[in-house]
Amino acid sequence: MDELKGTMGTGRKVNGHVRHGSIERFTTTVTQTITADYCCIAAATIVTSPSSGRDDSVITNGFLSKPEKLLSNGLSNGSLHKHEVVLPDIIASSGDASLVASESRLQEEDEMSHEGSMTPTEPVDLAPAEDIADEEFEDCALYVDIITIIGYIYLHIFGYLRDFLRKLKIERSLTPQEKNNKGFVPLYNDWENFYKRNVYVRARDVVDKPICSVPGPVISVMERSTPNYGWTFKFTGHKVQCINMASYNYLGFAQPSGVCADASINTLERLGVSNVSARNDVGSQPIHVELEDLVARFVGTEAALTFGMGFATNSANIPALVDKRCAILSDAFNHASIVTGARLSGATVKVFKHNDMKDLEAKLKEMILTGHPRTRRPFKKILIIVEGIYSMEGSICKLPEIIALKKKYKAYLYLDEAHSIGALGPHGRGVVDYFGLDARDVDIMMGTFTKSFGSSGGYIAGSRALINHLRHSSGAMVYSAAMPPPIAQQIITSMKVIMGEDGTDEGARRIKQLADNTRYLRTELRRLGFIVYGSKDSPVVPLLTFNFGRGIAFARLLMQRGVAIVVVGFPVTPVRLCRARLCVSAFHTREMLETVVREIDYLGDLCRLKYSRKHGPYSKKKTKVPRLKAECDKE
Amino acid sequence: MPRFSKTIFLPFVVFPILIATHGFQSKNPNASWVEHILGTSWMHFLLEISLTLYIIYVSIHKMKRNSPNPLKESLEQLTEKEKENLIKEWTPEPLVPASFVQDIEMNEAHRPKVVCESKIAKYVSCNGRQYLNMSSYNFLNFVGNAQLEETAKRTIRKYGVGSCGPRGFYGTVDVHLELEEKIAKFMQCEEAILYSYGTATISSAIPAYSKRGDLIFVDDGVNFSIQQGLVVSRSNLKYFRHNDVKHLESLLEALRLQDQIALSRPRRHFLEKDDVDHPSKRRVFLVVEGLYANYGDLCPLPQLVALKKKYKFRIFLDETFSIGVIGRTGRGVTEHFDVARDDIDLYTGSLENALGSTGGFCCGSTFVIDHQRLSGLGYCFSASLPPLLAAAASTALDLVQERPELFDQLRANSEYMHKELSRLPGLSLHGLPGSPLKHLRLAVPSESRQQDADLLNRVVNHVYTNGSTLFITAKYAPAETLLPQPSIRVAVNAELTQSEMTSAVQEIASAAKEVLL
Repeated sequence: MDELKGTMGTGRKVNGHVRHGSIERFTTTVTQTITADYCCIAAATIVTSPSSGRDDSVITNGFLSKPEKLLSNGLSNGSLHKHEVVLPDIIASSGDASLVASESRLQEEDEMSHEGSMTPTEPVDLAPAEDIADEEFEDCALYVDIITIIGYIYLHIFGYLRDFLRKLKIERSLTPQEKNNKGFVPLYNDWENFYKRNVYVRARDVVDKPICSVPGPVISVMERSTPNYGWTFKFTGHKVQCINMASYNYLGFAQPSGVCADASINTLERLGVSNVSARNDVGSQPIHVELEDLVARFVGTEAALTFGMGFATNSANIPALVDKRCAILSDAFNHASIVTGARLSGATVKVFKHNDMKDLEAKLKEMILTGHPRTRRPFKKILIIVEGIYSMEGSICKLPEIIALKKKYKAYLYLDEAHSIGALGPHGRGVVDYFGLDARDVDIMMGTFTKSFGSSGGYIAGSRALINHLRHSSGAMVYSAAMPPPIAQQIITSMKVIMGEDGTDEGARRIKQLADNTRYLRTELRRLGFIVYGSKDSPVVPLLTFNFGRGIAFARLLMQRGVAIVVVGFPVTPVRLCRARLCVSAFHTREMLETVVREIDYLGDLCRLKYSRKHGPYSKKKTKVPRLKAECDKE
Repeated sequence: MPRFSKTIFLPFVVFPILIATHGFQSKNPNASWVEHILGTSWMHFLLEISLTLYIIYVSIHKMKRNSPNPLKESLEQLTEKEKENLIKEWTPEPLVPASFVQDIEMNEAHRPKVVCESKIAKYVSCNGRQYLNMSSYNFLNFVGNAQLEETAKRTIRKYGVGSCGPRGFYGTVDVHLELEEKIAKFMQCEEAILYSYGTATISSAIPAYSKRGDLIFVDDGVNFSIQQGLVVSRSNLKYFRHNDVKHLESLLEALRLQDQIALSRPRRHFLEKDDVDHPSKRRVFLVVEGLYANYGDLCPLPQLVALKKKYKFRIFLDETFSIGVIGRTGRGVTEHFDVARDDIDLYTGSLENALGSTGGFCCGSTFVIDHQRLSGLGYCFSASLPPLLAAAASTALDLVQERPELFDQLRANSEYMHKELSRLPGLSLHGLPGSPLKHLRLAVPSESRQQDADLLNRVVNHVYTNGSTLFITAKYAPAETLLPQPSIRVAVNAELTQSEMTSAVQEIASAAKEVLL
């Protein structure tokens, strides 16, 4: 055991021999999973047994060589310094330990990330779309639920135990204490921070990871070490190169060079970094007008408005549209900004089940018939709020049905396209484009520029009357600073590329590439037996780990293997549905995705994440998920 | 949640008593083992069982009758046809009322609609004309600063424009950490947290601490984003008159008396739990602004801190407009009044005003700030600040510390402008002499707010069309609950020269004479 711990600690170099080995098969699944949970949560020591050597050829030939080639492009071997903690196939640029890299290194990095990114593979022919289920929310077996709950009970028992020890001063409490304010009512309820103290801290090393590069297809993550199991972190000064499956850079416009960056720098010189005034005061510049016209044209509405922050776009505009005599019907998985906006508006809020049209119709009917629950007056307006792609579920809203319902019951529709604009549809114009509908059927089109456009901020598009109304009544328009010019310019340039107005077919190519990458990753993961939620075309790929500890261990080990992903657990998702989320980008090359799939495949076995009973190794029916045509041809 | 009637507990009490009191009477050796255990006959046992079942039935039945949703019950009485007709009859209001925009446009007919073709710096050009800008919050003249622009450009070349993710999910870039550290150092606090939008900062910070049942004392002159934060928190609110410490103290005294009564009340029974707003659980906060955006004056911080120690509440200080403006080195009102840093529990500030970038921040002790990293809505659920803006703000902070003379200039300019503006005909000046944010209101306001606003708009428009200075009236959203009197908002720049200020004052003076007299 000691030897094994050592191998995990020193990383891939030694571990390389161990890791593709078959994992010791325990007799019952339950014991196995409990053991795995224990290991995952307590520390990342996972019990493996030395391999029989069966897979060694795969490791040396396929596994290590490709990423090495992929990642080390553009880096001269002289400057390449491998350090012990990080894997050899991940470049460790630990020559100088300072956080601020020298200019030359910067350029090297830039070149490198471009080498990998600028040459996407040729799009492949895809198998007919009907082969994959449109939307899947496969449920796990009962034992997985039991294991998950046991995991939480375990965490809570130990949490209470340790809290007790902290109270007795046996364990030193590392929670910050309030220094002054003696005799005040405590600022936090004791249980409020229980979860943070005893659960979140244990998993802190997989979240909040700072990066020091462009959020492109390959990122450098700043390595941290923690002397006290997640309470505080110190930077070691090393950087770890990872394949980025975490950022929302769907179309790959987050670039430090190229048309977008050049145009932004030009605008910055012309119009300044920021304009410290609100749009309604003196903060308007021609670039804002240009941007708003372009957005309206892109989305297909009469007019549009832009704001400096995506969150504020929702939270400031919903209150400007509905008041306390109105009602809001909101999807169960709507974003926090929508919830905040709805709360600010004071309207009666009802939540319908996620993407459940029957429930939506029933609630709509009930609202019209009963009226306001307190005053018993009929509602003045009913606003349905849905998102295009749900960021945690990867599902696409059923827009045609919603529009039909909205028309039937005379409600208004607010569509939040934060994730779908740019990433969905044959022309990248979001969920309306995806379903081939008319944007004018949606009353309020909202979206953000953070994701596909590699910028920041948000927009509201709709009829001219709506936009004129919001121009004077939205808090973000009247009080908040206008969108900074370089930010606006980035959106204009990238949007023009997507629309093909720059004279190239770059935009169309990126959209196609994103669709291909999405299909590839989703099909491969399903084939391997993972439970992947959501629609087949959504670039948000949630991979269900169910168990919290396993999810964390999965992310931790995947990071060690050079893939950065996001894991979300209980406060964000329901208790039993912890998940890892992968975001596909158009700039992921096929080799990168192959590496990612291979690593996930391996860790899926190690952490026992291949839960699917429909396909994959543990399926009952042995139905195969159809592979992509090109993949079949290769074989 | 259906409410159980208390009768449901009856069988649990009655049943054991019945058995216990019955005693072991059956001494018959031929009796069955059940009779031995129960000590009674089968018949008696069945009787007790049926009695129990009856009680359970009655209590469940009663629960059903007390259904808490009478609305649903009334719905059940409607036939399908009636429902359809009702749905058909319902006609909603239009999404946006046409009259609103018409009203606004009529009221603001004379408010200049400014679109600047240049940087919105000290001088701006609109419609091909050059104006001296007296209306954007460019207090330190950092817009157009070459150093800021150079940093921003370098950052674009390194990190691109957007950060493509929230702070928790690989959206934290090293410039964010650097800036947070710098802010904490500048503000002499333990920790700082960065938000990507100025107005989302305080409106996320308040609900992170204050929940339902808590109590917040608020000055009734606070700005819009604080008002929004208060609404989101769903706490109980108590407003005191703007900068009136006496009024606040009387409210606090009344609260203390109420609390004494509530605390002295004995518990009715052992298991009784305190309500959320019981004084032993309820947190009390005071939310004030450092420099009031709508009034241009400072909060009386020393008196508030004295009250804090007496009545035990926490102070949230919004320094959106006072950071980089007030104080000898621009560290805000605490420096101005020489109040100890620790006496304020939470500072919020903005990078959007004096510092010439975009975004906001909170700072304070680690105990307070760290909580927001999981509970601050605008922090967790929003993409992080674009690196170029964070880097620009970081340079601005360096500049502020390198050039403390900027604050002397700013104060001198503000005092000069105050002296000059207070002599304007028909207008009265609001705000402190040393504050660069001033409000010009009508000396004799009429009954109608619209008419006053229109007059001020005319003054501003007169300067806009005839002069070469850009003044603007303050605008408020319709959702604003604490509407101040209409005003012309004047923002003083640190790098204004004497002659520029004189000409600006002359222009507005002549416009005021023309329009108002």
